[in-house]
Amino acid sequence: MDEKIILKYTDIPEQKNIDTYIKNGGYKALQRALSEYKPDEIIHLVDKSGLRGRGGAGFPTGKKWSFIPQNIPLPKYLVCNTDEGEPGTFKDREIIEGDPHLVIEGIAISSYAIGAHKAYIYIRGEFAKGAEILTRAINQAKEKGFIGENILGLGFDFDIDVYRGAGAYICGEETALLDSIEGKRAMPRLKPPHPVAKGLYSSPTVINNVETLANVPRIIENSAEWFAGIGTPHSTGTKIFCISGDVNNPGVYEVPMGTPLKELLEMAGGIKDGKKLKAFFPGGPSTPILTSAHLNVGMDFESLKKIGSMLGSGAIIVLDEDRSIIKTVARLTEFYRNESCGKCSPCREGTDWLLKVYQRIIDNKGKKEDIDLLLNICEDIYGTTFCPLGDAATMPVISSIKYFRKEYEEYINGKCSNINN
Amino acid sequence: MDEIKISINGNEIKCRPDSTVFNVCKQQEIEIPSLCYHPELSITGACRLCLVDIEGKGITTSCTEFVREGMKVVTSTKDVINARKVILNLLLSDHPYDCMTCEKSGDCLLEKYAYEYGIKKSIYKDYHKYQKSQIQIKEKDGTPFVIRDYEKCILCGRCGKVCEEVVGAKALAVGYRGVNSQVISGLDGPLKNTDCVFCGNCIEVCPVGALREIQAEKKGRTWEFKKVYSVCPYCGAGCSTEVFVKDNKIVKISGMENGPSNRGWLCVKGKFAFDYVSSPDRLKKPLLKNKKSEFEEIEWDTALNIIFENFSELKKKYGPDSITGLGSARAPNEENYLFQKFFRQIIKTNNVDHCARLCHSATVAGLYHSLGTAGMSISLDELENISDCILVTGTNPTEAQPITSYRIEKAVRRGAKLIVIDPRRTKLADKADIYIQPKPGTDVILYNAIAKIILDENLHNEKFIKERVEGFEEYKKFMETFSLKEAERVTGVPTENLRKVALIYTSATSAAILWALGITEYVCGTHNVLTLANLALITGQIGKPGAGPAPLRGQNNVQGACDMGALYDFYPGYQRPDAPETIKKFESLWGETGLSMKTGLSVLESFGAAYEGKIKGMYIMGGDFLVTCPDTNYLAKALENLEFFVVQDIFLTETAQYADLILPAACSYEKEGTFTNTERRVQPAFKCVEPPGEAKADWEILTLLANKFGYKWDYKNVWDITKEINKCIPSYAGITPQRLFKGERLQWPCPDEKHPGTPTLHVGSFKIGKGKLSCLPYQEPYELPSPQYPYVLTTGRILSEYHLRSMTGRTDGIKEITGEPFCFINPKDAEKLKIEEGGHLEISTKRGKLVLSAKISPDIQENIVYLPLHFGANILTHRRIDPIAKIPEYKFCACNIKKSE
Ligand SMILES: Cc1cc2nc3c(=O)[nH]c(=O)nc-3n(C[C@H](O)[C@H](O)[C@H](O)COP(=O)(O)O)c2cc1C
Ligand code: SF4
Ligand code: SF4
Ligand code: SF4
Ligand code: SF4
Ligand code: FES
Repeated sequence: MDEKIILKYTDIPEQKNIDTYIKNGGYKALQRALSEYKPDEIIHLVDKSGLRGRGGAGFPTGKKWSFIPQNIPLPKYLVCNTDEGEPGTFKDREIIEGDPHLVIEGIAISSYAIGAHKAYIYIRGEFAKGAEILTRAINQAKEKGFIGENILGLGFDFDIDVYRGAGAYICGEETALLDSIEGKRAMPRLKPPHPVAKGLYSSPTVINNVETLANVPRIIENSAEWFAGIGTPHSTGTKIFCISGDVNNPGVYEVPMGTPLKELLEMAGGIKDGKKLKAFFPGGPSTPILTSAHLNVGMDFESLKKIGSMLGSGAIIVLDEDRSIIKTVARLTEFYRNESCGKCSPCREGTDWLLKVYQRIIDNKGKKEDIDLLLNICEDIYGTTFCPLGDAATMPVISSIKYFRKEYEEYINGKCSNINN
Repeated sequence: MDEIKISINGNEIKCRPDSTVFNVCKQQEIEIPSLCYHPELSITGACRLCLVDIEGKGITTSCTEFVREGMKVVTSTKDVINARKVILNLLLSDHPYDCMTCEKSGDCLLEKYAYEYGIKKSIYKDYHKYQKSQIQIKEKDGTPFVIRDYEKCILCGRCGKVCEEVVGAKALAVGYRGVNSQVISGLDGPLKNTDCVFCGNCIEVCPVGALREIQAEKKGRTWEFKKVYSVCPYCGAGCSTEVFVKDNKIVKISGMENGPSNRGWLCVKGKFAFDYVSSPDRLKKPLLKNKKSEFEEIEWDTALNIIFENFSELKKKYGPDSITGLGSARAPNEENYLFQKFFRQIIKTNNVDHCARLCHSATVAGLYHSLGTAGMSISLDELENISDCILVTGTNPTEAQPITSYRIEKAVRRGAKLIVIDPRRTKLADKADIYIQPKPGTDVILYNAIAKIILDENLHNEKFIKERVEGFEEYKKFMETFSLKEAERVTGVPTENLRKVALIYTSATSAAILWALGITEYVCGTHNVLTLANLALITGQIGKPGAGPAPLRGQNNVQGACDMGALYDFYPGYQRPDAPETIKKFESLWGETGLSMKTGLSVLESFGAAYEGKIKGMYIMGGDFLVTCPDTNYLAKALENLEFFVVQDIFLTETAQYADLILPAACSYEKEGTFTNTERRVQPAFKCVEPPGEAKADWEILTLLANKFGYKWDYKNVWDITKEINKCIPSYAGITPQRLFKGERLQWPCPDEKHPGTPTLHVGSFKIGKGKLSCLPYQEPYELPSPQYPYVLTTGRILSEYHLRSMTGRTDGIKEITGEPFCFINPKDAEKLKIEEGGHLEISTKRGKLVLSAKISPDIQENIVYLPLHFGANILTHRRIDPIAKIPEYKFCACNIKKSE
């Protein structure tokens, strides 16, 4: 498909400017949402479009919104998750830097739908430029009356704050993120209660990913049916993939859900130096690794699930034939070990032990039993942790041993060919 | 709430739908290992040890899983056991393995589970050399009392939770990330540089040896200790404690797990300030002042003979009313009972009183008059769980009764509205829905104003007034002429703010009013209390759980010593000496005739009479009145005038210096007896250690003495006296030794042995029938500022200290926390007088002067000096008393301050 939905205008430098945005049809959806739809009609529309969360878990967005209790005397909040911490993921940055008003418009419509008068954009600390662009865009929108009291004269009061994080992967987890906004150390909260029932400042809160929210104006502009017609029946719309690693043209590529990896690899100019594909993470390191055997699998929620992996955040990390699986996974394990929030014992201690075993193998002191030991530790972590980070840490380990056990064995026996990569 | 059914290990179990699987298992006595769970704290879910198998869900932590209808739980499959072992292996992987020298051994949950699950050595241990731990151990960071040894920490999170959720100090939290996570205080500095209040509750909840008491270091381990239940000797909260003893020495003190008033928690004093018990300064033998005015050790028998001879002589020469006795709000009920009995039965005078005269006598007088019962209307549990409005006035529980402040803060977090009215901005004011800062000494007019607004706006409770209150018509009439404008001028509080108070107070379902000495210690103290009672009566905020007047007592047995009749105007159980039926009752109970019906002398009246030479003999059982009464210089002259003066105490206090004879007493950890806390709850303390030298329990001394006087007192132990109290005081009739031994901690009235005690007073009716409203005109404080003394001096407490520091001051850590004696002044006054923080200033009044260091705080109003009473404040205070309750006006006198070089 050549029709992009979200990255349609991001190549135009002036798109950041509200006038250009409006010229390109911007803020019409907001006008339309506020004047033509009741809040619950928008929820219904989004539900019908089949839009699913782009933050990793793929939860149906309309359904999430419908959980917000409407008849309680508490304020409601919307939080736009711009933490983008998953390694290899850089799509949200592209959106906010390239088309900030699209996100703001999406937030405004979504807030209206759930009855929130205040929204927060939680942006990771490293995105200094993004925060600046967003703040400027918000100010412009305020001047034009898209944010503020009684916006567009349609009786809806609404405000957005940009909240900058201070750099921890766990801040992207929705409840830890709420703690962070509240000024606490980010650690996941106990669920239930889910944020929709008791979130920010103990009030009902919806947390959505940037890409998820950016789709909302498009659904209003076009129609739910139009959106549902793109992609596959259960993974509707487009998906922005971030292709990185051993490809010629790393970058973001927006394609309909269900596009096979093969096509995406072609779009990214193929594997570097004419080498062969060895393996890839389809949705960031938190999703199980796949191999060249999976080139034709459609990149959507169901198809990937069927073969034991996940769509995740859409960060495709490509490894060519010379990459060392062990060193790659060891590096990712180090990431999880460092980013574990430290709250629960299996994740905190377990990830550290995983890394120690990898270090031992890399130091050429590994034993054959270490492979099973790695699997055992993963088994112990998986399912016993407080939040999904612990589970995620086991994904690259388990899946890489599944597909590349031989390479592990060879490495330990000192017979591995790509030991230095 | 409808119960639901779940199955645990194949057995069907009914439970509340809001319980967790863990709690249901616990109720069923199915043991599930847990490290982070704590019944008094919110769910953490950190350790992941409490795993069980839940059908459809697999292996899951039971403490985070709420029950669902039809849920099937299995608690110990092979997989579950293995999964728990994995967690233990992981936790032990970087644990130091030094149980053999660890202070916590025997009491450590990690050790216990490692034993139970047979984990000798973590399977991950061999990888230790690959560990790049950045954890720095800051075992001793110079903080008093607390050792933090984080090498042993398992990051269960309990310490931070108790500090935040119970204490409200938020001094601890987890810092850093992942495997480098560590509990830190502040920005990872020493604990003493944070908001830590040194309550030690973090130590209490630590499941392993990571947090420990410095005082207990190298003093032995859990199995070597004798554990004895006692009651904290300090404030009126009456925290139940568990005292750990080895070789006749107290090693450490913990809160008793199910302590009714403290639920296991303590404050810095109850937890740590016990070094006085084994102080070398303790009195060990009777001392007689010789001709050279030096004290000489004598034998007990000689001492008792001397007392007998002197008191008999004085009685013969000047009559029984020339002798006076002062009991103690820190001695148990039994000893206060016996003390007043000694004076009434043997000396035959009603000249007996005690230190509560100086703190809450206005409460007793006010509540007795208006409601018929002088006690807290509710329980602390009700305060925490039921009251939906809490008015706190003239009390700073954060420092003076910390356990109660923990509970107030919990209530606020639950959603209760908090109103704070205090001339000094207290810590609770920060948490309040509304804070009112009146000028000191204007309470009567302030509370009348609130009542006026309630009446004007029809917020009063007609039905309640009609059914249960008398004097309303008169009261209404009195209020008609009351001017809100004038009130605004006198109190300095805008009427609008008082209207807000009135609205919050009257719209609550159950509103409690808490107060302490900021209300009582005025020449109009009784009137102040009565205005508070008025408020409760006109609104019907009384006679139901969580509602009503709730005085907070300052010493651990203020309530009890009053109940026991260590009062010049009341026999035990508030029975009046001038009533013939009282005399008849006690003559028959005691087998005595000729009991005096003449009202006796109160504390300050006794000293006044001594000053004038009318009182010749005095017997003080515990109490440093020289320095606790106002106007120390005057007191000294009064004491010098006495012909014969006996002091019975644990230390050679300043008062004791004036005595002719000193008797060494056992302290509360060295004897048995019951204490009645602020919520009227009677709690026993048992003997932990032997008294030093020849010191004896007060009751033993009194019994021996009575026998010297020829009376056959045959109490074999304290509990014989308790039984006599059961007979004398109707509201104590059911609080028998048997029930106390069984663990019952009853609130009076408890009229018979089957009665469950009374958490809520005044339900249905008042003891005097109807509640009495009082019409109270405003009265100014006695000594108003003058050109020569333009400032107002007010006194109060601080957290770490207690009274004149004879007990607290003997623990090193406490000295460190308190530092140099200080007082608080407002920044503007400081600027005016060019006084800097920590600089010295001189406070002077007509009676004396004092030099202290200055703390500058905007919490104090301009032109006011706030002086903690612990620092010898009474050199400055005046002697004028409330004519009804005879309480002195510690809270207000005129003073001058200037920079001292
Ligand atoms: C460890 C962890 C990190 C996460 N990081 C992010 C993130 O950076 N951005 C994001 O949108 N969602 C992240 N998520 C997912 C969020 O918790 C949440 O599900 C998501 O923001 C919901 O938005 P959606 O429904 O629009 O996908 C993370 C989840 C976990 C467990
Ligand atoms: S799984 Fe890891 S990141 Fe999640 S709560 Fe536990 S320690 Fe923190
Ligand atoms: S001693 Fe008390 S206040 Fe201090 S850190 Fe421990 S729990 Fe918190
Ligand atoms: S110090 Fe003790 S209570 Fe605090 S987290 Fe560590 S183990 Fe738990
Ligand atoms: S001083 Fe009061 S609050 Fe502190 S431990 Fe003792 S009784 Fe409890
Ligand atoms: S006790 Fe359940 S997770 Fe710690």
